Amino acid sequence: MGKKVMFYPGCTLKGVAKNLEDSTVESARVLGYDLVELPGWTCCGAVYGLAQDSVKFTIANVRNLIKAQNFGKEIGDNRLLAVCSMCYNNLKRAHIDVMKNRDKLKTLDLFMDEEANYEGNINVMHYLQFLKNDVGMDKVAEMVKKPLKGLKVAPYYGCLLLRPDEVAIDDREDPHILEELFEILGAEVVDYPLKNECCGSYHTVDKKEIVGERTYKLVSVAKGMGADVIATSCPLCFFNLDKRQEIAKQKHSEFEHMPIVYFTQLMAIAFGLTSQDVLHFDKHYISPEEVLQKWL
Amino acid sequence: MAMKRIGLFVCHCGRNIAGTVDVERVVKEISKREDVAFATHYIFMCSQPGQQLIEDSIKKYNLDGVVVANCSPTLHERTMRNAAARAGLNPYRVEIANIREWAAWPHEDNPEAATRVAIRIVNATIEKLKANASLHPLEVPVKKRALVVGGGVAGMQAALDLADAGIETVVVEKEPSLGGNMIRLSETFPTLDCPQCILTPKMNDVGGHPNIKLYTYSEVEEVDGYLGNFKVKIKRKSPFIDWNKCTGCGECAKVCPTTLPSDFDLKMATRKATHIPFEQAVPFKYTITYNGVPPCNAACPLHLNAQGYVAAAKAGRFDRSIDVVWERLPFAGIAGRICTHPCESACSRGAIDKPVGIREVKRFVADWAVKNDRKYILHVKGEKEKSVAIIGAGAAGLIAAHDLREMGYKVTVYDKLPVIGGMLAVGIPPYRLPQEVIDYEVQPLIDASVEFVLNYEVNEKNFEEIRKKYDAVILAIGTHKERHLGIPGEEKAMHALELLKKANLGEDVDLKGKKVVVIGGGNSAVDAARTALRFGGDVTIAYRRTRNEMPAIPEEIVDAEEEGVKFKFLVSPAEILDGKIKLEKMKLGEKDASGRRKPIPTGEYEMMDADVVVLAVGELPDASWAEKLGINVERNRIKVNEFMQTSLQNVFAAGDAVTGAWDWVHAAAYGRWAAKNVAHYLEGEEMEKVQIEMSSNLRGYKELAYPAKRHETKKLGMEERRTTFKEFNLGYTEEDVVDEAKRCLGCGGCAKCGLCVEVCESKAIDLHMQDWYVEEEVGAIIVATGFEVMPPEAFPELGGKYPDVLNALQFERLLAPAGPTEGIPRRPSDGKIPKAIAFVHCVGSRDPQNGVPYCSRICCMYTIKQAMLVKHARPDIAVYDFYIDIRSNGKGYEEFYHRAKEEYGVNFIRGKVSKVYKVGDRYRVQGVDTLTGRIVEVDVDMVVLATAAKGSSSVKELAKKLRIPYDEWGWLKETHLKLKPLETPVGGVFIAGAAQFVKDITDSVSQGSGAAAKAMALLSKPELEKEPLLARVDPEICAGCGRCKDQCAYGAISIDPVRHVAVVNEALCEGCGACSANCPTTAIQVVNFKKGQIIRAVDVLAEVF
Repeated sequence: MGKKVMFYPGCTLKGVAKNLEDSTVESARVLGYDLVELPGWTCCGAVYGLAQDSVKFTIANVRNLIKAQNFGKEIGDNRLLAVCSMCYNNLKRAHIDVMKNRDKLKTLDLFMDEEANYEGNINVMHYLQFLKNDVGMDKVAEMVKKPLKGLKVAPYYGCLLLRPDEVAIDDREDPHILEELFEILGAEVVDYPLKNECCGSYHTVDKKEIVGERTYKLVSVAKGMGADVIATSCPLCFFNLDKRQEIAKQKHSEFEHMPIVYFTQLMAIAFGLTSQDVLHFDKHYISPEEVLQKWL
Repeated sequence: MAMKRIGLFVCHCGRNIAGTVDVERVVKEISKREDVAFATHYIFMCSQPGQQLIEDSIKKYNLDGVVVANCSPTLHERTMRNAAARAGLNPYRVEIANIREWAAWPHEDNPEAATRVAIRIVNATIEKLKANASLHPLEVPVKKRALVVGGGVAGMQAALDLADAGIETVVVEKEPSLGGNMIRLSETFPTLDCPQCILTPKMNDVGGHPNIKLYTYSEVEEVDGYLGNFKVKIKRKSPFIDWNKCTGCGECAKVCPTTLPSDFDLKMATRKATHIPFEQAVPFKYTITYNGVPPCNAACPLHLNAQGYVAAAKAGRFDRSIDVVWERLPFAGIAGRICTHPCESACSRGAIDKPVGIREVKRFVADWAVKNDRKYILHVKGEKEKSVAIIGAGAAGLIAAHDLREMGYKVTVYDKLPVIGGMLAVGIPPYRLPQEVIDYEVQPLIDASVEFVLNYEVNEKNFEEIRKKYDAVILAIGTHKERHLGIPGEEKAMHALELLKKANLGEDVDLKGKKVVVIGGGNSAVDAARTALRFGGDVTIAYRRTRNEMPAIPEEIVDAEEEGVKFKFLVSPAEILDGKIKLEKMKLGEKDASGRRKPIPTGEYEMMDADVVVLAVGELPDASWAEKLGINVERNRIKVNEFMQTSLQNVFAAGDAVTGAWDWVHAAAYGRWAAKNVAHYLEGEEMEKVQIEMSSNLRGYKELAYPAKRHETKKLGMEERRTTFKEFNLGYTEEDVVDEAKRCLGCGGCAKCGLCVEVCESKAIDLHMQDWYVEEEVGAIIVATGFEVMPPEAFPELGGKYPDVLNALQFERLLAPAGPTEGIPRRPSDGKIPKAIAFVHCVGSRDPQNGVPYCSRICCMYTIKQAMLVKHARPDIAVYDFYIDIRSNGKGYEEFYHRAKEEYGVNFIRGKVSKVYKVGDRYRVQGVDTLTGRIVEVDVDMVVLATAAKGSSSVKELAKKLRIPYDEWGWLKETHLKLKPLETPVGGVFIAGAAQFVKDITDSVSQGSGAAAKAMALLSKPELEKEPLLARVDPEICAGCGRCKDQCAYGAISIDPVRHVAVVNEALCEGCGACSANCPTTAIQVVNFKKGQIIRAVDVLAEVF
């Protein structure tokens, strides 16, 4: 039994991003950590959760933090891990917001009178920060059974891991945390300059063509630089870069498909976890099976 | 005497004070005081009528003190004091009560409070004023000379103006030549003048002016003194060339083998270590750049000049190369074959691909010397009477013998072997180090009368005799005793040294067809294995750890493998039987003290066929006899102190006998130190502590590294290698050694190879020249140190790391007609002329998060200029200029911008660039055009970034020395931005040009003249007046504790050693009061700011609490 750490999956990980959830949880298990799902967690609110103009938009996330506070006391650990970039961004910003604006916290505490007051000592971490700071890259290196030698990976951060400054997990113009991880996993990292360019985000709902163009650009540049796969952390980026390749191909006949993966899937494969119960390649529009065959 | 007739003048300051404070009430309240003889209020005290009012009232009411209640004293204290002086009242009997900034303005919303506070402030001021003494300014003599720091256009202008006015001026410039940034430019905006054409006349004027003393390649080291009387210590950096003799002929540069990146060309070009920065340099003298000890030299325990002999080899000058080696070591051939090369392990090239083959270069030039009949000559520097005996003719002993003989002592070397060389002769096999090489290199010692007594074993029977016969003895007996394993059957085994000695002395050992197992992993094991193989054996090395932990030189292990030696790892010998050896399997555990993983026995065994077992498990010194004679021995090694001296006073020791088995170079290094200290001992001098380690953090110029694999040496054919003892490594060929030497990155700068010294007809070069210092006394100092621009590497998202993404100053060099590309813009990566260039404004400027918050002022204009010049040179190049605003705010600037747009067809795009990345061979610039609201992506071949300007990097150190303030970006702080932009808070120190803030040439020149005018005003009087509000000591109370002295930032206080009291140098004192705050007895106080005065004022101010 590994060390228990609280885990906030977020809605998408339970559905279309099951591949992200399972590869995260199982890779953490290999590293000696038991990611325990936060009991009673609710949706972070996605874009709505980020709105600053009304206190009520912060309720959901502060409530999640309170639940983490309670559960954290039970298991004796105050870390709350998230791997979905949007959920991480929401939870962390909510925490910082109410710590800075105590009157806002007071209002929320009073409103949620059936919950305990938020004391402010939950440490919201993204899984990558957890890997780098708490687990340590040496430990990750030790667990690599099948180095991804020869696999060319383009790291893709998207926006929410790097902006705004107060929640950024690395330098916003030239981050390196994913590159470090991929090198430890034995892969060849592509120097991908568009790694922090926006995927188009929620335009995917009502203006798919915009996202299609973004996908066209992001994927073709990665391909031009020799990448075999693009690895990301955010389910929305994943969806946009993956599924919207369909539109990209429609608009640009010369466009060549490329599989998109989560960084945790690469971790899992490097650790020797190749079961589809962990990797769920059926969730991908462009299956990575062929490209990753060598290591499966 | 306390004042009794004080006058109060309350100013309205228009509505600034009177709008809030009830000035009439203030007058009424204060009038109640007995010591106030007159009180009034007036609308503008600073006006002429206001001042007239003061003057008239002083006379009319016979006032003995004045308080003016108005604005901050920084504005009008001087004005009011001057008014009082005109009326005959001592100006220091006037005080300002600031009721504007302190009462009216803070309490604008509460007039009642404002008035009460104003009354309290006036009362407090009167309490302080009452005990003021009448004072007179000091007169300080002035030295009518000036110093200008910085030889750019502003500094030069200032110097010329001063010199023309008859004031002798010293100019200090840190680069070898005048010119600053301006001389680097291609053309200047908006006139498109050639900067070299307009600046060189000024440079020549400065260089030749009778009133100017020019020190280039110099820096200000220390500044002492004060306004009118500065003492400046200037460091003259050594150019290693005597400029009094240098004619600028350039012959030295022609032969110099070391190439360095050119700082003048901002690394867009290269130059030799000896260089003139550019063709119009003033002074036109060559400078040799030396960075310090390179890592190879530092890592070498003997500190041989590795970079030096490699550099000479690079130039094909093998004669010079061997001379450089011989400057410090006669045994080049020995070292070149067997040294463990710590130099190569430290070589900066190793971080890129593989280190330079320094050892093989040394071997080549040693062999070249032999082939060309060049011999090393041991020059004895004057015969001495004393004599030294050296026991042991090995690595340590030979070098000690050489050094001592060179110093003139009589030297005799004893050795128990029949040959000279110690372990070199009998340990290292002949295929690695032939005896002929040793004999050849020892011959110069014999020729210089070093006596060798061979076949003579020194032990307890004859040592005392030797010790009496000689004045000193060095024990260098090495490690010739085998270590024993203590396993059953050991007597059946042969020891490695035995086998190696036989091979070295020419004896044959028949091992044909026999299975030989060599136990051990060090050099002796590998040597023994390869020797056994040559005697016909089927050899396996059995080592208790793995290959990674083997201490043998890695190349030797590879050579052994090539020859057919087999390896068996993780086994340790347990018992030796007939024809077999029983081995215990080992596994690796945690790391031990040597940093290697410890072998742990597993308890499992295996048998291996072994006709002959050779043990190479370590060697020890045979020092037991020495112990009997009172020489301290510890763990078999001879114990020495930090001077290599044993427990017997005139007996020293060095080499493996002291350190345990180690390599040739360390034995030699310690041997050399022992010899040095023996000499000190014999002369009755103080001995030196042994210091072998030296560090160097120079890392070489990576940009000079071109892809070049390390050369392999030629080796003997494999058949011959396996069956004979002929030297197997034949060394480099002549082409290879030159090519290999070219891989050196020149970490130390000048390699001190000496090739330039040979060709200098004026004999101006002195590679041992040191920096030296000069002192100058001046009355005024002008700081004109210029600016720098941020490097492109600071902006990774704009492609800063790519070779074709440059900052504007680098690009300027490519546009300069005399620059590296002769004025045609070319890509640094492949030299091709670009088809499209993008310019990006505001890179780092106007960007508080990523760079600096301010606008760097000159970039819009120079970028437009550069765009125009590109179009001028090659009209077909597409030019895209990404800007946010165009700041063209000078005379002719806007018109210049329009020319660029209309006449030259530069594409101006209004929008910031967010990313630049490489796509194939080109660069994709991702920006936006805000005027059309569209994203713009354009593929170009070069990108020029207008990066933010900052103060010169070394200015902060200089500012600290001058005690002038600077801000976080290195700009020097002026006293008042609007009214005193050239003055600093330190009297006598002025600033000019871009050092104050980046500006164009026009403004720099103006400020240069302005600062000169200020300095001239200062220096035009024979004496200067100094404010008398200074610290004064009451010697009756002062206990001489010195706390005041520690506090003084101006160094103005000293403690009189005779009277034991503090003494204030009034010329240096600035009246800050830090001393009085710390004085435990109130002995030192600032006049008119005495403790009693302050306390009474504070009492009044605090009366509400």
